[in-house]
Amino acid sequence: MKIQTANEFFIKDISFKFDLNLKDSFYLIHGENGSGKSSFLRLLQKNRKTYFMGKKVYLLDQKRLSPLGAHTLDDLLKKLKKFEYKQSPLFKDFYLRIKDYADIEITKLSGGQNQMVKICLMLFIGADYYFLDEPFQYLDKNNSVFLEQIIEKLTSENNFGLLVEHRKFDCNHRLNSLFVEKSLNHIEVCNG
Amino acid sequence: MDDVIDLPRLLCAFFAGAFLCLSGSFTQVSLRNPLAAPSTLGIDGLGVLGVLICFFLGIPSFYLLLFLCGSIGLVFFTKNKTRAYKVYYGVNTNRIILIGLSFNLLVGAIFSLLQFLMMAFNLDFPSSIWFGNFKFIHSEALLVLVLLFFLAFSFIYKNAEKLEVFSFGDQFAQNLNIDSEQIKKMILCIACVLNIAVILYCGVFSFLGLLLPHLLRLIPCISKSFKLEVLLGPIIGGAFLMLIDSLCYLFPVYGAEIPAGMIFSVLGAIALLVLLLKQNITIND
Repeated sequence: MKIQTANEFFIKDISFKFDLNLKDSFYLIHGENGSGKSSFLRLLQKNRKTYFMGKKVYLLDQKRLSPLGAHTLDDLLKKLKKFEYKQSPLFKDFYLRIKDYADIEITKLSGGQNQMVKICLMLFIGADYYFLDEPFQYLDKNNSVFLEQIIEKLTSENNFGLLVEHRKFDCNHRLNSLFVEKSLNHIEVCNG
Repeated sequence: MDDVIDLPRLLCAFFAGAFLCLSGSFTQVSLRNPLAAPSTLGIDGLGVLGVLICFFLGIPSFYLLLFLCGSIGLVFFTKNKTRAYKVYYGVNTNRIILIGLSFNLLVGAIFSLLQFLMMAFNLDFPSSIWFGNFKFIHSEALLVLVLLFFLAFSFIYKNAEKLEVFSFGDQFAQNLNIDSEQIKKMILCIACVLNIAVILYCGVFSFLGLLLPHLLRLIPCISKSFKLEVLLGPIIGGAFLMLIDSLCYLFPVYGAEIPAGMIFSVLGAIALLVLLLKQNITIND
């Protein structure tokens, strides 16, 4: 597999194997800063395709959601109904939690609120495989705990997922680990 | 001076306004930066260089437009990415804007130097190009602008929903199975071509492409929908430029008509300053 950014090739050949049929098939990706964890997620969405191994993928990236206009979460949800979506059963709970700022312009939200909106949209659109790139960034303690529960539920619902995260959280021990070494030269998958 | 304006002139003003408005919206959404516009990305400078080439080599504007369209297409759509493509995709947008403004300044300096030399030798020079107007519009220009208008509108009409989602974010659109990379390339290409066509046939309207999308977003229904911005925006923008040009024509100052482009240079530069000084502006790289 090869991957290229706009500027250079930074990886030539790697091979890896996941057992997609495992019940708890959420993998936590470890690796030092700059080891290419986020690049690895983008690599899996090669050619920016939404389907990976025939299944729908959702990649939650690190960038803020920043529409140019005065859009609110409710506006976005209304507009997304015209597209193909596969609402997760967890969406409603999540939406209720952030309902207070669902009608505030997204550009005016704080970093944590913006992150919660992004996750809410992810659950609305839904997918079979979730690639989450530092989903806990900007979240306060309460929201972090809530997101942990969501991830646990996603895991138990037999979704496949990859999660890049530095901090330790409660469901850490239940996740499989995937180590990425410097420059993506070596990737090791460990179960349990 | 007649009290009645020619219809071709009015139509050209309309299309030029529509194209500049569309170019502004497209560049801002593709680079995720409210300061991005053809004037701030150096496309104005490229267009003026094109006019100078046409003037000195005696090439008809239409051939140069075709050549530039082909070149822009090559920059964005060749498999082996060109240097210009890498600059546009690999560098942060604030730097691109600084590069664009510097390029415009460079072209402006070359233009002034050439103007001085040509005047010293009593030779003709297309001085009026720097401040756009519709005084010397001809049927070929109108034909090309109409054609481009329909091509651009058919693209927008076909991709309106995709553009709406693309405006929320590249990765977000990608998650909805929309090829955001392709959309980004297409709209940047369209913005460049439309803006260069306006410069080749009507001259430079500095900062109009920056100003119009911001004015449009003051209208509540447009601020909530990028689809409406690109569908209605060009019509409102076109009508706006048509109005300003008509006022310039009908109310000359000491018998001389002020070029509409000159008015927008002043207004647009003030708008850029205001945007830069505005505290709550969000610039996303």
